[in-house]
This record gives sequence, C-alpha cells and structure tokens, in this order.
Amino acid sequence: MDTFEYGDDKIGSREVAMTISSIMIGVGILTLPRLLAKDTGSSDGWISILAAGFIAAMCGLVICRLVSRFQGDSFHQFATRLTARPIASLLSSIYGLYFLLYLSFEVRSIARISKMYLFENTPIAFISVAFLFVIVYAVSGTTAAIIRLNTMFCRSCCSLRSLYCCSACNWWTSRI
Amino acid sequence: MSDDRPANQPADQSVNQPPDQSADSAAGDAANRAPAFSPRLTDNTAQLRRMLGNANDLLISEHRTAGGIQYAVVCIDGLSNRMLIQEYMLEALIDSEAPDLQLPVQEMRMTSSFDEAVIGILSGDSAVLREGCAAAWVVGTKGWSTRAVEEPQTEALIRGPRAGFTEDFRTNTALIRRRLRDPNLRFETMQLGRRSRTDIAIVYVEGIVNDKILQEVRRRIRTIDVDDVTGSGFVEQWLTDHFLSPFPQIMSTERPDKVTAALLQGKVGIVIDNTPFQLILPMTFFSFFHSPEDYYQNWLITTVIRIMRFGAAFLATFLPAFYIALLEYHHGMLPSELAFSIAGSREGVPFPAVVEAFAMEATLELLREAGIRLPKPIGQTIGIVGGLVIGEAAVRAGVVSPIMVIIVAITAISSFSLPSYAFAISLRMVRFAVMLSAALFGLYGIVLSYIILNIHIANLMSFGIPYSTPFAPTFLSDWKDLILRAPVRLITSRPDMMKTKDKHRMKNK
Repeated sequence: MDTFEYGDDKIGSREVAMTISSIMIGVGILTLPRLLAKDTGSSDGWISILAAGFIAAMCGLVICRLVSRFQGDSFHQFATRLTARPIASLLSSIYGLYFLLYLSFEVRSIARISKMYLFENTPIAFISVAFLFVIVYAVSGTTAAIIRLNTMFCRSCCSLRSLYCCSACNWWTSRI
Repeated sequence: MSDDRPANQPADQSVNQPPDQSADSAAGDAANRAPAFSPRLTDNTAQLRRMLGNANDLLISEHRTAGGIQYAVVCIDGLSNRMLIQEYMLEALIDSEAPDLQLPVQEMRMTSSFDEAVIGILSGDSAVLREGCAAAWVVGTKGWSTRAVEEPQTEALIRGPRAGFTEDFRTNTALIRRRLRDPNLRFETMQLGRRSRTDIAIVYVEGIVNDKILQEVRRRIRTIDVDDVTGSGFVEQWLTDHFLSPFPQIMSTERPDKVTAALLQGKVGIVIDNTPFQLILPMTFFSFFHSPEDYYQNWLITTVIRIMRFGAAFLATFLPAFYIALLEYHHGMLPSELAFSIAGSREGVPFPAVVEAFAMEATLELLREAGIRLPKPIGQTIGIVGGLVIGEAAVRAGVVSPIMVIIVAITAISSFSLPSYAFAISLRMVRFAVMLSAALFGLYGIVLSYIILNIHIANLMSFGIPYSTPFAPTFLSDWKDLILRAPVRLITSRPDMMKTKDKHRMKNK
C-alpha cells in the first residue's frame, strides 16, 4: 500500500545539520578528552581540537556542496559525472571502505565501553553483534527514517555529550 | 446515481459506491440477479417476497386510493417507523385522489432496480409500488430502537461533555454536526461490505483538510472489499500503513468532541455504523498522549499532567526491565542500602528476578483480561482476588518479593493512566519484549531495545505523515501543543504538520 510522499522526499537543512553533526561527533567524543590529555599533557589540546574540527568541517562542506548541487543523485552517480567512470568507482569503493571501517570502529568502541562498565565476562563479539543487529534493523528501513532517528537522538545526545564534555574538562583542568 | 433522485436529498446522502460492488445484487450473488420491475403489482410484490426469502418480518400491505389506484407498501418490521408509515404515508395514500403519488414525507426517491429497492427496505426504508408502474418509490422511514447518548465508557473525563457516540450512524453524524455548525463540514457517505452494507462516512472540513490525505483515505477505503465490515477495528486494521506494528496509527474514540477537535486540526474522521468507536487519522505518536481534557483545563496543569503521562509511558514500558537488569546484572549500580533492602526482601524467593517479573506481569495482564470478562456484579471480586490474594499471599508465601509487587503495581497504574487504551495496551505488549532483552543483556539490552523502539517509530507512517512528527521532521511551532500545552491564546495556528489549507485559527495574530 503506497502512501503519498510527505516530508520524505525532501530532507530539510535542520535535519541534515543534525545528522552530519552526529556523524562527526560520533563515539569519539567519549575518548577525546582522555586521549588529548594523554598526548599533549598540557592545556594546548584546544589547538588540535580546532585543527581536527577544521579538517572535518571542510570535508563535510565539500560533500555538502556536492550533494546539494547534485540533488537526488547517489555518491557514485555524481562522482561519475564529475570524473571518469573508473576513478568514480575507485572513489566510491574508498568511500565504502571508509564507512565500513568507520562502522566497525564505532561498534567496537561502543562494545568496549559496554564491556568495561557492564559485562566483564561476556566476549566482546557478542556485545558487538547485538549492536550490529540493531544497526541492521535501522538500515533495513527507509533512509528518511534514519534521518528522523538522527534528529530524534541528536537533541538528547548533544545535551548529554556537552554535559559529559563539561565534566571531563572540569576534571582535566583540575588535574593540571 | 439515478437521475430520479429528488433535489431535496441531504447533501451527505450521496452514495459513492465502489464500482465493483454496485454491480452485485442485494444478496451479494451475481448469478441471482433480479429482473426489472414489471407493470403488474402482484408480480413485483411476489418478486420482493421471493428475493427476501418470504421473510416473516417483511410487511407488504396493499391499498386502494380514493382515486382507485392500487398501491403496495413494503417494509421490514422493526427497522421502520410504523407510526410514520401508518399516520402519514398510508393515510395520505388512501385519501389521495390524484393520479400521481404524492406523500407528505421528506425523503423519497424513485428507483427502477429491485436491488436498490431491496437495499432500501433492508435499511429501514419502505418501498411504495403502484399498479401499472414499472418502478418503486423508496421512502425514508428508518426508525429502529437505538441506545440513548450516554457517557463514553472507555474515555471518561472529569471536565468535558458527557455525550458519547452510539451504535446508530445517524446519531453519530448528528453529534458531530451539532458541535461544528460549519457549512464546510463534509460527510462522504458510502456503503461497504458485500453482505453487511455498512454505512461509512469520511468526515472532514473542506478548506482545512489537506487534499492529498483525503485522496489517500478515499483510495484506501475503496480497497476494502469483504463481505462484512465488522466495526471500526476492522476498518482501522485495513487502512493502517504498517499492520505488523504493535502501535496504533489510527485513533479510535467514543468522544464526538475529540473528533471535531481533530477535524479542525486538519485530520479526517471516519464514522462507521453499528459501533460507538469512530476513527481519527492520521495519528502521530505524541497525539496518543493528548486527552480532550487537556484543552478544558488550565495550561499549566495540563502541561504538568502531560509530562506525567510521558513518564508513565516510560515506566509502563521499561520499569520491570530495569528491575531485572539491576537485580540480575548490575547490583553495583544500586545504592548499597537499597541493594541490601532489596536483597533482604528477596531472601527466600526461589526464582530469579526474570521469572518473578514475567510471572507477575503476566498475572497482571490476566487480571486485566479477567476484569473485563467478569459480569459487572461480581467485577469487584477481581480486585479482591488480584490485590489481596495474589499480592499479599504470594509475598507471604515467599514466592515473590514485595519489591516486585510494587513494580507490578506501578507499571499497572502507569499504563492505565494513559488516555488511549489502544496505545497503552501496545506499550504493555512491548514491555515483555523489553523485559526479555533486559534478561539477556541487562542495561545494555534495555538501551538496545530503546533504540530499536525508536527506529521502529521513526519508520512508521500514518497516511504519509511520519509517526514521530512533529519531533523528528521538526515542526517547531507545533511544539506549543506537544508536551507543553501553551495557553489557548497563543495557539494561533493549526498544526503545521497537517499542512492544512487554512493555517490560522485566530485572526490578526
């Protein structure tokens, strides 16, 4: 039973902003303060945060511009139009590989955190597989639903993450 | 339909029958098609008798008018208003000297098809046949015993109208019209069900409702093709977008004020004969937390109560799962004194928390079900049996812990505090799945099931409107009436998410 398309065909800029920011922040925010503190050892960590943030934002900007110029096309489609077909295939496979690695990194780190706090004896594979099933369920729905999911979670996640970062920074500055 | 229809027909009487149904005969049997009317009266009455199987309640009376014309009046006993037929139709008929039929009645149409005449007779109208005329007049004489308009059983309010829908189609449409004296209020009436011929009306306000939603509703209703449309639950399940989902995507209500409020928000109502539950669509997740009383009360009180309802929904779904997770996996997360207290109260309980929780929650559902089935006079027994015998005795016997009884009580109270029964019961079913995942993975399982629930809700659509609107396709202006209920003067526009044609509820704001 098909339905009339509503709010589905076009994804608003607000939704896209939320989705991109949640991808960019990711699970890395949890380990970011610790890793920074470990490597810099002083209060100069902000420089690398700024630099990394700038690079990530630039990459995001490039993709955003391309996507908004070729609306409705997939990455492979507009890469083919911009470059030659073999190069486009190569780029797409690199992109795919990147996201595969990205996914495994995210799943692995979430499983590691859960193992650290909750499951001392459970093998990490089982925790990861459980989470992977959830991801598979999400992906089996529509793309718009994933965007909606991001919007739903982004607000609460952002507030929780900023709280977490504040407390982490607090702890870090008190140590220095 | 036929061109003989007089102009004084009510506007909502137009019959938009699905094309594939009108071809069939009254009995739903295409092979048994009735012949056309013959000029001879006795042939016609015999044919009617034959079509209705020589029914006992079929009344056929023949009369000769003062003008010397032979007439027959056919109706079904019990479906027609006998007083009206006797006093107005028959007396006027017998006294009339004119050669053509003139009756002092409001509703009268001519038909040359036996099927239409029979359907008219079966819906309480009476057919008037004349000697020498190969047609019949169907006269509106519907009148059967109906229930009075009473307070809705399932949606009682403290402050608000006490009137609820009844089983009578006309009463229900009138209840809606009485609340909305808008000439743009439309009832698109049709008959569904090959055998049941149930009256169904799509209700909306022209000029507010989004045409795309309306077209989609019409299209889906046209796909209903069964012999019996058994109440609004059937229509709801047929029309729903995701019938595998536990969540209701169409709201059923007994309250006319709820329907009219929804119509003015740009929603579409469906009124169905023979049931007091009428449908409102499309529905979003958050609208199941809203009660008509929210608008009859002070906005602050409403806001607080709504927040409580969201908390209640959360508790009803996740509380037993938290109990399982904390007791089975993460004792360390409880404050130590509470952990000791729980451990002390659980001393001697032979089951793990999972078994305990499943047994008690299942008992609760059983009690709820039994409470519905029990006849009213002995209904209170279930409270005594459930509350005292099972609760008290199970704790005394050491089968379950007192904490578990508290948890079950809180979940029950929370789930019954939600305004929509259909939504509450789906949450209660989801609760068992969440409990299972908590039993498998502890708090991690609860988080995963929470995410799965969110994915599911994000995937749901109700007539093209995402179920999570106005939260996930964000309509910030609709947040005024989401968790918070802004003061009435500030809700100046209709919900943005409904994409109504007329956006403003107030002028100059």
